[in-house]
Amino acid sequence: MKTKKGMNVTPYFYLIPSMLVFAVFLFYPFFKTIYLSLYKTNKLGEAKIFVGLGNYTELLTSASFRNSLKVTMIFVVIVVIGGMLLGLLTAVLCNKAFPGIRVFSTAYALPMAIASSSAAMIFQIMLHPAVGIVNKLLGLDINWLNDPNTALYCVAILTAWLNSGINFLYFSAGLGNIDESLYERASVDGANGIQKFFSLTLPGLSPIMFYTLVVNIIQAFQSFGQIKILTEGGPSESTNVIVYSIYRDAFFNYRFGSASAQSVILFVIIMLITLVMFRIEKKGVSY
Amino acid sequence: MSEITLKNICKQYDDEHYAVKDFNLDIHDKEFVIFVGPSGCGKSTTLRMIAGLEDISDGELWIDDELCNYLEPRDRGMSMVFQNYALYPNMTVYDNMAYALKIRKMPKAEIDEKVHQAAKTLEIEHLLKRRPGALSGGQKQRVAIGSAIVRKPKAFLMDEPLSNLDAKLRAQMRIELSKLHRELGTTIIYVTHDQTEAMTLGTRIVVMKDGIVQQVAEPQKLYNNPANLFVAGFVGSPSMNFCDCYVEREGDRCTLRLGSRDSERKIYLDGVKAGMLNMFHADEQVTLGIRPEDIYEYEEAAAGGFEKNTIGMVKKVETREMLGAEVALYFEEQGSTFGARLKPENNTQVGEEVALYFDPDKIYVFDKITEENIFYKEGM
Repeated sequence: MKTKKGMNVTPYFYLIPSMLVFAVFLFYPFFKTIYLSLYKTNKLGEAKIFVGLGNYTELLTSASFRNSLKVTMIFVVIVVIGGMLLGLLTAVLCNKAFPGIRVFSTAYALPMAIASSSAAMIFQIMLHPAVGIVNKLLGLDINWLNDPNTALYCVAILTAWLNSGINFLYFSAGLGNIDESLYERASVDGANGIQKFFSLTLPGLSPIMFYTLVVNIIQAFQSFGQIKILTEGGPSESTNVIVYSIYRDAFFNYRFGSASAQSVILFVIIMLITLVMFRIEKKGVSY
Repeated sequence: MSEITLKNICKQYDDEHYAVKDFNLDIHDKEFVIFVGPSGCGKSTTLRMIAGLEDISDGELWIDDELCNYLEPRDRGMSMVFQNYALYPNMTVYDNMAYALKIRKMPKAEIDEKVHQAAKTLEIEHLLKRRPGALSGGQKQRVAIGSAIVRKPKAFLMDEPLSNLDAKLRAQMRIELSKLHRELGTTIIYVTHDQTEAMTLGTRIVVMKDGIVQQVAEPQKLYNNPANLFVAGFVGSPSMNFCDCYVEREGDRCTLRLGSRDSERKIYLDGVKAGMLNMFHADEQVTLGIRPEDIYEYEEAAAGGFEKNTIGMVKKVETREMLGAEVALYFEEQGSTFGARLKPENNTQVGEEVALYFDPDKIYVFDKITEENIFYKEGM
């Protein structure tokens, strides 16, 4: 099919189904969010008073939101580093054939299959100040989830463990792609295990490492279920990450305008980080 | 100086099967030893056991009077070239070659000198800044060899290093390897399945089959004095022809009848060979072997004076290959293909018949059951 000017329009028809799906589930909510972030809303979420960037200035001057940003950053750093290190360590451990390897592989990949809410329930019991196994084993008496100094770390470590499952899979696949004879040559060349890890394993993993890093960062920013169940943003906002703050503003305080503005800020942060990452990738990753 | 001794080396993956069985060999300093055999004969496994990449199931490996069975690969002082080159993809050619030296904490200036020297020998100086991904197969091969020769190892271990190259490049690299061996004066242990490579490169050849050493000898001796049917068939190109024949005693002489007991196609033997056959195999069926280059037409047989000792076999030519310097004729004998290499003047075409004579001095006779060479000279 061609227009009068001879432009071929047939290919665009093939895009219609996927564009429709995107429009309903992505573009509409996205633009609606931006729209709402410019208004004060009523309790039903209907835009009532246009305030321009009022919601944004309010947020950026609020101590609570700045705390949210800080908490989110700490949370993301712990989750990404912890989750990736754990995934890498377990993948390297399971890269050798030995009896029972399947049991270990399954165990390390398992967090992927556990819902964050059920994992949170289990951690809640384990971290319980009176009957929890953590205090019993360590012989301590800490109220892990109700202490502003420890609550964030507990939630972050749980999330890191949850994310390590899929990282384990990514890294295992990456390790499988590294030619075994390279390790053999390195052995004959005289390299020890640590030298082999740094000169062969890490460079060999760099392409998948990059991909995993991007996915992990995005995932970490969006963690919600475990925070909702374990701490509900508390104590004293010490675990009030942006996603939870959005949830609370929208569905407890019915301030949809402010919640939308926070969503937009979160979107911008994630997009900027991803763009920077892709820039770095072109320089640092060897294939 | 390096002496490598393998004593009753065995490799077993399960209780019943041996990948390598009772491998015994003394490798002397500066030797170019070739392990050759068909795929799965255990030649690579043996090499990898020397390198330390495979555990030795049984037996002893001595390197310079030190028992090395349980030594880590890095402590054995070997340097290895792999079939797929095994270049580190994330490093430049320079870093690839320098890797083993860097790990040994050699001073930078010394590394630089050694890498450049090796690169010069192999004519790859212009490639030093490139990554392996940007190299051709032949260049990668040179880099792999370069990475091995920057060190002064006790021995080079090479696992089919030329098998990924095309025929022309392979022939060229063969000559260069030979030259390199003379220049470096280091022991080389080389694995290949290609008998041409084995014959042209090796100072000594180990022929293996099913994990068992068949024969260890210099190339010429291996060719002239194969220990058994397998070695005879494996060494030489095109390979030796085999057919069944019967031993018939005629006083001091001995007649081999081709095919059946009453065949009129006969070869007469006398002297020691006849004596051996008469004594141990009279009236038995044996396997006769003759190389394609030892089959002649009547004129040549007459010139060589053996036309009376062999009754010409008249055969119908099935395939004819004009090779320029010679012509190869193929015909059928007892169900298998026989080849003969004749002078290029021979004009027999496909479908025509030709009379052929075997040189009785050049025939081999193998025991039907043990497949041993009956005329094998121990220690020759």
